[in-house]
Amino acid sequence: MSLPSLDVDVLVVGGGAAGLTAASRLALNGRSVAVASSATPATALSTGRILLDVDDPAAEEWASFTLAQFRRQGAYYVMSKKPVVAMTNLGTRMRQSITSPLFDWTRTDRNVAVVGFIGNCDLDPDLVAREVGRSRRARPRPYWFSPSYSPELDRDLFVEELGRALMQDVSEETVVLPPMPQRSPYDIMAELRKRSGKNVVEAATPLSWPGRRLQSLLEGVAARLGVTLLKDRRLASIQLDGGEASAAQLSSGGRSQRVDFNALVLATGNVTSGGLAVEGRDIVDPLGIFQVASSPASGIASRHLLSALSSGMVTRDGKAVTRQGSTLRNVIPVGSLVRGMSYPLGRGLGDVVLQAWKAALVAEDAL
Amino acid sequence: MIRRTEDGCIKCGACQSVCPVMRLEGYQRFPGPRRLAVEAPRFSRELAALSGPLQMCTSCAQCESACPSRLPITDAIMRLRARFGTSTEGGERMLRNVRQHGRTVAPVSRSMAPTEGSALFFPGCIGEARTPLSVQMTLDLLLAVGDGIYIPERWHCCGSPLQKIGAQDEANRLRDLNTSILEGAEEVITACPGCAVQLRRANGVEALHVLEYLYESITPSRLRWRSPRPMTVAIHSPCHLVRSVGPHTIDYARELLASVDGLRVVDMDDEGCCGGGGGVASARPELAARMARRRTDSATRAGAEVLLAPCPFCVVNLERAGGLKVQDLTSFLATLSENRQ
Ligand SMILES: Cc1cc2nc3c(=O)[nH]c(=O)nc-3n(C[C@H](O)[C@H](O)[C@H](O)COP(=O)(O)OP(=O)(O)OC[C@H]3O[C@@H](n4cnc5c(N)ncnc54)[C@H](O)[C@@H]3O)c2cc1C
Ligand code: SF4
Ligand code: SF4
Repeated sequence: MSLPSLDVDVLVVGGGAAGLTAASRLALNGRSVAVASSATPATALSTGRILLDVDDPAAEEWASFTLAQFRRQGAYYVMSKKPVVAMTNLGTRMRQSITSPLFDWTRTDRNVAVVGFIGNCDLDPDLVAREVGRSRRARPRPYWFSPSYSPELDRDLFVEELGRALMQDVSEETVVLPPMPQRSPYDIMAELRKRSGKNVVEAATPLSWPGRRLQSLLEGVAARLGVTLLKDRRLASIQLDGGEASAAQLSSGGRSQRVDFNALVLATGNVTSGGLAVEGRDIVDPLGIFQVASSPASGIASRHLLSALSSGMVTRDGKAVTRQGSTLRNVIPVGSLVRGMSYPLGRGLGDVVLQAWKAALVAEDAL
Repeated sequence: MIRRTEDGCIKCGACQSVCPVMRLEGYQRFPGPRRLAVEAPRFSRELAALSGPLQMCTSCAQCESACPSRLPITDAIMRLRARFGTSTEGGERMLRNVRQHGRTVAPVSRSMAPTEGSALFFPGCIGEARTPLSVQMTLDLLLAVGDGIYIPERWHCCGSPLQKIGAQDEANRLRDLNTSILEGAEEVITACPGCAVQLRRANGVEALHVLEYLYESITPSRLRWRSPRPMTVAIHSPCHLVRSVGPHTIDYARELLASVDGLRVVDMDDEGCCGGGGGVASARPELAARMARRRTDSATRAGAEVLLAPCPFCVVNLERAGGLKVQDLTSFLATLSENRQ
């Protein structure tokens, strides 16, 4: 049972950082683009902090475009050429080039209060204080706050209570909190700063809101540029004609939909997201079409993990290569699906967005 | 299958963070999809303590569509529930009704339609018994714009709610009873997303939800609507419609409403489950009402005067919240149609 078919210049499969970045640039250049994606992308599971290779001229270009688009959605992020250091929820330090000032812990302040919320497992202040204290760069003090209100359901009461507690019971000038469960926490953070008179920041926490926020901002950019976002759609098969791809079948619930396109951007992520699959000891393309190989890598103790993360799709001039070794002129793999681009072997989000930003032009050339 | 659920989990917590019941009730009262589907089966000693929480899952499948490993979480929860035989008063009543009338809710009246034709309209138990007026309006619209619409003399519950309470034998019996009834139809159209999915899966019939039928089978020129006054509406996305029938259905709903003059569709800041599915409406009515309240609050915040739900079952549950007008989306379109019968 087929749905009415769709016709676009470019079909992007996979709606994480890579897919959305490529799609946005193509839409910016006037192309009709649809992004089909399913399930939570690794982008939404990350800490949402981006470290860029600032020597790459594309970095500045991507950042000035993207951050302006973020601001239109009410999100204030800035780029810093010299990486800024943030504290993670494990007390480790994390370097980043793109972040919101509201989320950053300035390195100049040595006296820091780390405040955990009882019932919220995103930030354990005792653990963080111990870890950060060990580095001697700071003197962190742990606090536990027991909220009477839910920040999601009773936002105003929550902010009022926490603001008062921070002002009365916390002596340090800088306060690190777990991430607020909000798509747009900027006003809450600003209000907490105002009420407490302190520099209130958020810990960089994976598997929580910062990553989800980044994801929804990137989706917002694409949507504003006119990209069609097809959520919960899965790529089921690709039709190949000679040296190129001409159409794809997506599944939507129990039905399928044909999409015709002139170029196909694959951004389905690595083994975490299902863009690559584990078959016995091998990492393969789940569709059985493309060539996947590992790249030389080191730095991960587990041999199996190293082999999984160092594997990815093989490209030739930015284009996909079939198992039989021929290049597909209009199939462009981007992001962590590509060999050598998996975090932590690749640099994560920063590498992924820059590669996808550039690959958009390869896709355009193929049109 | 449960095995696969246990082994494939990467502990990312994506399922926990989207579960509407967990967000509303907190970890203490509802430990969440990962705990129930992945961890609980490994610690069988604790299972008894989970029979309460198991009843609270609305089978909305938000967890499942968030899962990067694509684990069949909802199925695992439903199977666990069946293993427990968590029988509730509501479940028993449903079974009694099905044995007596072939429907989960005893029908009060019969929708007015031809009994023969080529396009079979399947009203569904809940729709016909609880929202008969709205089903009749939907039907009138279909009769006006479609061809060969009919409702067969006899039809039985599709079996979906029975499967949810673990009554598989009864669901199979109904499936077989419906087989010959469905056989003659060229097209099958359902008002309820749950029926569409069940008829596809159990009977192998290519059933269409009424939105799919309107959007795909009817030439747009036959669909002419006008709102008598400017109106602001919000669309509720029924779980079984967007995640089982398919997410394209909500795109259809938006496009159909966009073609109505004088209508403005607003986005809600929070999407999600009405709270009534998976037997929660009968097992935990107070929870179902609280969840419904979240939806209507969100629609009110967005400035909607009416919350439209393309599912009779959601309409019934959302009405528990009170305060905001809730209407079945298709019957709403029917009231605006310029060529209603
Ligand atoms: C826990 C965690 C923490 C991390 N922390 C950081 C960090 O702090 N900083 C950093 O820079 N990086 C971090 N990373 C890495 C970073 O998240 C990834 O490098 C980046 O998100 C990859 O983006 P992507 O677009 O390539 O893939 P993804 O974001 O994974 O997107 C791929 C999408 O494609 C979908 N998909 C797959 N197959 C199909 C199909 N057949 N049909 C339709 N859709 C499909 C997937 O479901 C997914 O939604 C972290 C990763 C994880 C998992
Ligand atoms: S099906 Fe819905 S209610 Fe049940 S565990 Fe999953 S997300 Fe929660
Ligand atoms: S979303 Fe899937 S993989 Fe992640 S914790 Fe839940 S069950 Fe495990």
